Amino acid sequence: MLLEVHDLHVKAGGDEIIRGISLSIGEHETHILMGPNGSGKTTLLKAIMGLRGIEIEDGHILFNGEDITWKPPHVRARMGLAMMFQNPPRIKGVTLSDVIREIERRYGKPEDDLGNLVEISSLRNRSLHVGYSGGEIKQVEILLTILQKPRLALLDEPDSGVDVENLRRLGEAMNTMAERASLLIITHTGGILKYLRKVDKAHVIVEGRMICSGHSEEIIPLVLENGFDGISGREGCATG
Amino acid sequence: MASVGGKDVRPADIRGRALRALGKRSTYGVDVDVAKYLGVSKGKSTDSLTKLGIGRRELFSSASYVQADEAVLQTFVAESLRSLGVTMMPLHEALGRIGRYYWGLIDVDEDKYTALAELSGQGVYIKIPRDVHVKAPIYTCFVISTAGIAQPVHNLVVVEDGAELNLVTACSSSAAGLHVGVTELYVGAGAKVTYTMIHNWAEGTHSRPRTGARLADGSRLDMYYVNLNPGASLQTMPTVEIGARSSFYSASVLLASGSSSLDVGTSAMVSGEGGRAEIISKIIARDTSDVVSRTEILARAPGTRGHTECSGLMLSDDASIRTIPALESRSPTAELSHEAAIGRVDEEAISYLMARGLSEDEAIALLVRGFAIIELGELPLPVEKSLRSALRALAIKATG
Repeated sequence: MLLEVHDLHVKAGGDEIIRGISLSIGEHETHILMGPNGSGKTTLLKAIMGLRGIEIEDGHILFNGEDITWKPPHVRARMGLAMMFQNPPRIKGVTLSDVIREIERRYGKPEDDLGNLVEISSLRNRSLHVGYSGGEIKQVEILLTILQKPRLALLDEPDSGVDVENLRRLGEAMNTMAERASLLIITHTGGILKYLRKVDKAHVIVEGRMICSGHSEEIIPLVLENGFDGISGREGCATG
Repeated sequence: MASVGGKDVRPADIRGRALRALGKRSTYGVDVDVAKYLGVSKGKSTDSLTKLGIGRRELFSSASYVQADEAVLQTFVAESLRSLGVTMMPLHEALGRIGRYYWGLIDVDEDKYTALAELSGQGVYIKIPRDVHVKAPIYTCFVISTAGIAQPVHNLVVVEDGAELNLVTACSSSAAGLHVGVTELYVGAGAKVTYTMIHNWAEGTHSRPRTGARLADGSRLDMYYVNLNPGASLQTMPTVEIGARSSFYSASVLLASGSSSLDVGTSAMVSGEGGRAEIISKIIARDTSDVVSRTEILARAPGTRGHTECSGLMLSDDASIRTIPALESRSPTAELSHEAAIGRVDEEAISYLMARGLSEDEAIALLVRGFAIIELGELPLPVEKSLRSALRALAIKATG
């Protein structure tokens, strides 16, 4: 397994948000993570990435067989983890070009021409995410994530607040990434799903617990039909 | 004491006022006992200038003045400029022709430092004649290379109506001393001036720049100030008087380190209708440094606009920054605003950049560099390069 999360308990802002979650992702697999607002999806991704403000109370995270539970984010990033942020910080004075340069210095130039995947030329010399539209933020986040050449990309709601055209482009970018990497994608609305060529598994988190985990073609229709309530224990949906 | 032909040409009353003010403390900043810095030295080394990116190419491109300790090492004006009437000479040699400008913007007895500048007789006079546009930067460089000496200088710059000047002042020291730099800058009607100051003082140096500027109607002054190392203490409060339809932009970035004490600011008085002033101040404080940052805009005419922004970045638990922005309006149609913020490096931004593969130190360095970025207006390329290079060096020093 590329990523193994074992019985993870996580606090954020003093509250226990993740209450014993386990999750495994293999090489080149695409997993979908669903759940209602405040269920702990973003906190789980932040914990896997090792971001600040997240306190791991118990459990372990293994990446490529190595325990990364207490490793700082840049070490995880250099091991092959990357994250597309839903609400990235606005960084005044640091341009998009600055950040691209820093990433390329560490990960090398991109192997493909990414120009047809994302359109960011007008943003290059502007401060990162300062005054960007919702669609521009998504484009830039997916680009930076691709530039890191991750083995596992954590994508936090790539489809929130994005128009149809941007959604299609983001879908293409994710499909390109999926050829070389595993993906763990949070989606609240499922809007991105019809643009993805391949989804292997889906998981549902409610109140910090994985209530449902299994094949995507079984789980996703269940959620879309029944909502998040009342799907636990249904056929094709094992409790986590 | 400066003299021309052996005869002192300074009016006796000015000299008398200076003598009487020798013990007068400055309103702001820590007091320096100037008596400790009265040694005489003819400096030779200007090595510390090269750290500021000022070399032979810059100094011989248009016009330059270089002073080390009390010795004037160079006064150069390219023939192409000389033929247009551009003047650059030691101030004491120009005394006979600058009467109405001399101490016209700053009081000679403002404090002991202005008094010292008058009594020393050092400094440079620059004149750009009417309608002459000097695009290439003119450099004035002041270096302290001997420990324990004072370098009081009085510079007078006259840019006549419709003219253009890009002035760069580089100040540095390789030994601790006292630098007093009085600069009076007259910007004529419709004239355009950029004034860039890059300072890097050795540990233990005290500096007391005293700047006064007057903008005649329809003129523009852009002032940039980067200080990589303020030494032991720095106190300065340039005052700028802005005429009708004139605009003044000031952007400063200062790094306070060690146990340095800074009291810095800018005061703009918009006295002409439709005048504009914008003052941007950025302070980075580390170690046990202590900074007071003052900005003030006084609107004295209708239709004027003014904005100040003061940002402080705290890199240490033991440093302190105090910002004192002041706005004063005497016109109901004036629009004035200010913003001020002091904080640490944003934790969320650090975390974000670490997720992109930067170590914590690398992330902080990038964020500090971003903090220090200032908007640069239209500048000659060498000046823009020097400023960007100084800002990069400042950010490295801040986190190094």
